[in-house]
Amino acid sequence: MKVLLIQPPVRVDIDPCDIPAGIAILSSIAIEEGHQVALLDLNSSRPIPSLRDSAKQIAVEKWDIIAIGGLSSMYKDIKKLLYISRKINPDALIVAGGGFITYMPQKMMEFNPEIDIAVMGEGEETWREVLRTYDSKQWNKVKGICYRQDDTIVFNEPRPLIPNLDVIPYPAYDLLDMDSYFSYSGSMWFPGGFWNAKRRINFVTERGCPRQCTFCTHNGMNRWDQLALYGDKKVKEMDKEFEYQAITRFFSPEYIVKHVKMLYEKYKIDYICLLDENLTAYPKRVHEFCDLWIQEGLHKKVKLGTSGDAPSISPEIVKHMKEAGFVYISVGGESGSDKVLLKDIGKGVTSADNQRAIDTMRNNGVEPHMTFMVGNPNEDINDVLETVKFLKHNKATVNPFICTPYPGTKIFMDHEDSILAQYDEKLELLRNNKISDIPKDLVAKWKNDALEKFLLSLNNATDYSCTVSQKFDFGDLIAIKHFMNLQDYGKLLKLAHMRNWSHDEKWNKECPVCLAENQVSVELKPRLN
Amino acid sequence: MIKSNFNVKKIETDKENVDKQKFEALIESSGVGSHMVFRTTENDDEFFIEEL
Amino acid sequence: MSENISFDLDEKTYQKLLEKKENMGFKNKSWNEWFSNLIDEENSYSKILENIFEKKNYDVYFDDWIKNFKNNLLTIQNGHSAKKLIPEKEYPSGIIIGGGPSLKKHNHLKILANSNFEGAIICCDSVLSKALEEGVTPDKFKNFFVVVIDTQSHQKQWFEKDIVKKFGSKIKCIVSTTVHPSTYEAIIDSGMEVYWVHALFDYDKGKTSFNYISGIMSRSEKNQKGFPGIQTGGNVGTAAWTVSWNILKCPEVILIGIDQSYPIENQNGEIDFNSIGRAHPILYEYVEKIKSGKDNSESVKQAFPITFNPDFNCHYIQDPVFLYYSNALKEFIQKTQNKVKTINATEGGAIFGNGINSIKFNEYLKLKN
Repeated sequence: MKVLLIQPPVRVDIDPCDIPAGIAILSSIAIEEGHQVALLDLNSSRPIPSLRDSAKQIAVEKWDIIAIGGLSSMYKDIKKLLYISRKINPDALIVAGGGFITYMPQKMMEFNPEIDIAVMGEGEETWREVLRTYDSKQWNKVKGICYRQDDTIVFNEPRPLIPNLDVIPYPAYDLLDMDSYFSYSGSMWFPGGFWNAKRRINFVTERGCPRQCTFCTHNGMNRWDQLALYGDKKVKEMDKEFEYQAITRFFSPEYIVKHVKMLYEKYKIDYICLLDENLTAYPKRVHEFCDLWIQEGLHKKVKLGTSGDAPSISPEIVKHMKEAGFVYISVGGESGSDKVLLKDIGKGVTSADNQRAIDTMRNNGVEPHMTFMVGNPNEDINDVLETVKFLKHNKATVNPFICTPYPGTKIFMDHEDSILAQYDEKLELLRNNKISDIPKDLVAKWKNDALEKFLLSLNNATDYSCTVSQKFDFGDLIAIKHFMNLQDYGKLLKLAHMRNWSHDEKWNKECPVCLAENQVSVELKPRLN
Repeated sequence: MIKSNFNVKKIETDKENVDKQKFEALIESSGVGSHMVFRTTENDDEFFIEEL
Repeated sequence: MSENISFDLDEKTYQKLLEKKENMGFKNKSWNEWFSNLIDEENSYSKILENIFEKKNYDVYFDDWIKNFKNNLLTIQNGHSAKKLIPEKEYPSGIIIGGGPSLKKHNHLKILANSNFEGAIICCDSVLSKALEEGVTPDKFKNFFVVVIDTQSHQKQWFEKDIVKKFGSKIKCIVSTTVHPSTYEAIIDSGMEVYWVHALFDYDKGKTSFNYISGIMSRSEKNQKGFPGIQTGGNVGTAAWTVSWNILKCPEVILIGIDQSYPIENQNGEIDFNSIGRAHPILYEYVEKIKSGKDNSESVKQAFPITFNPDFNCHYIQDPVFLYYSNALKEFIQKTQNKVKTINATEGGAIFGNGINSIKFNEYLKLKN
């Protein structure tokens, strides 16, 4: 059987530093199953190939199966690729997977009639079973998918999480343009000594995260997501029938070391970014990993960088990680305001935790990297100013993300109506009770159309797509993001006055309007007298 | 872009035809600098030879 | 699918082919891929360009190389080798200053003059006086070098300016053995110390090559092992790049003013053929043809391509000479990623692509601070 897997472009505004490990693992599985497998990676270089060139690549063979997947932010390109895949291969079985379809499988199947099968959540075992079921077409027996049957979309039982991640094969590196990725190793876009890397690769050593930030999902690969997708009852059934559906699962340190040794031997890698969601949240495991890494001498050969969360970053952990060759730890700082952190984001972390984490990393020779975002639901100008103050204090230059309600996130679910209203003004009129007595099916159609416009507008949060902010409109957000990057208190405070937002008195000394008013009243006072 | 574990057909590039002779004539009639790009089969010597 | 074809080779030939294939970076790739690459490479436009320019260089300049070398010989034999400039401790980085249009457009010299940059400054000869006038001086930047390779006598003009003479004694000049003697005289008059290099032309042609013969002839009691040879890439900008990491041992090299192209956008960022002036007659002639529709053929477009630089969001046009230079420099930067990190902060021009890091100059300086 001839199987084509397509990696769509992602984050096209920056260099393609990360190999598409997910689709490369699925390629390995297809090879293990004995098929003729091709991987079309449309993300390996910049500029990305045109749709025309991509179509030419797809047209080189008559494929039995075409698989395509990605994140919600990639939907615009995925949609086009689905269309041309079907046009070119009318008879192929088209399988879609990844975050973009996991959270809205019904809608995605409706919006994209090209898709025959949707793989929801963790894909490896489901994909293997899809391949094995191709001949019999008995799709009803495959857990973790929904599929098209006549005019309906049939949902099968969800698939439980893979309990032991060590069974997952290595990505099919031979099907990737590794030289192209290595050529971006020293990319200037990233901090953390990336730019000293000569042959950098990315890796994941865990799936999941114990925190439940309202803006985050896990591509259906942990307990929080399963609870949101299938409900409490179903997840508890899976706990009983299979194994406890974990919040976080790990590859063993032995698996990781063996994998890295192979990469070192074959590709002479010198830097690995562990793209884990939250490595430091499990200190015992961090120590086990670092011990084995150092014992195997890899600390002398390969530099490391990873992500963590602020409360878990202790001097002991950081020292051990430094010894193991970690150069940076990236933490989601998000905001300098405790109100935003605790109430809007629900991270369970404060600004003091973030500061402590930065200080701990700096004192122990590991570079801190923090990301921030603006446009959280209840964030006001005072919260923004607190964030700028935090950045200035730490001499950090940050261009904040815009808080984006990706499908499956709590912020999406909590604000779905207001999000859709941003894509159809009629829905906004309805929300504000300016129109009424609209038939339900017509409103449903408006919402459906607005939903797809929303999905097509999604990007990687460096740019504006839509907002959940209750305080700022889109013009405000773009301006605030710009001035946060410049750390310009003056402009932010001027904007506050222009919009009649009140700011705390402690900012008066930074505020050009307040300073001018004060100065004028002091100078004029004697004259008035 | 596409890589596989079997022999996938190679596709032709879509460049329109360039008249090679005309292209060469255009290059000939353009200016020339006083130095050229140095080429060698000895990779180590391509950029720097310590003692000529 | 086409059939596979097999044929016999003796073991020795096979081993040679295998070695060549591996040396060209095709170790893990198929024989088909390597052979295809060889054939495509031979027929490619960049290869045609190189072959023509190599021949033109010989035809036009060979005699000048010999004459200039002959006239410089005694000075060379008694002079300093550029190897003397190899530092004990490497400079943290080096900035190459080229004379391309982006330098003025983005005010890079002023930005540099106002910065706290601590590495080496490697200036191309034609832009030296401008750099000094804008405050990029050896008083501020202690490790200041200038590179001169061109063979024509008019190069001396860069060293006859008063401001160059003012700072000359603090500048080290890396000079090709084939420069015009009057250029050498002007350099000395300005107060600079000269350090000789051979520009590599034809060393690969063996003992009958100009490089080999001139290399032997330049050896003397003072310089028993002769002088180093550098890849110039055809132009002083690429030569300065080579010098920065091979002689000055900079692990990181930043390019400004290295456009190797002409801008072709107006102030609104639109392609505007009227922006090409008569200052570039050959280019102007062809642009006029394109504008008037008299000759808009693919051949012209291939020889005078207009390209979009996505890193700096601008279009540029090149003539065959700049195309020749930039093809080479881009290839070199990609090839040497393991040896030197090249950062292009020109904010325009033709140098972008795989392995080339692009960034705005003031952002780079901010990052470094």
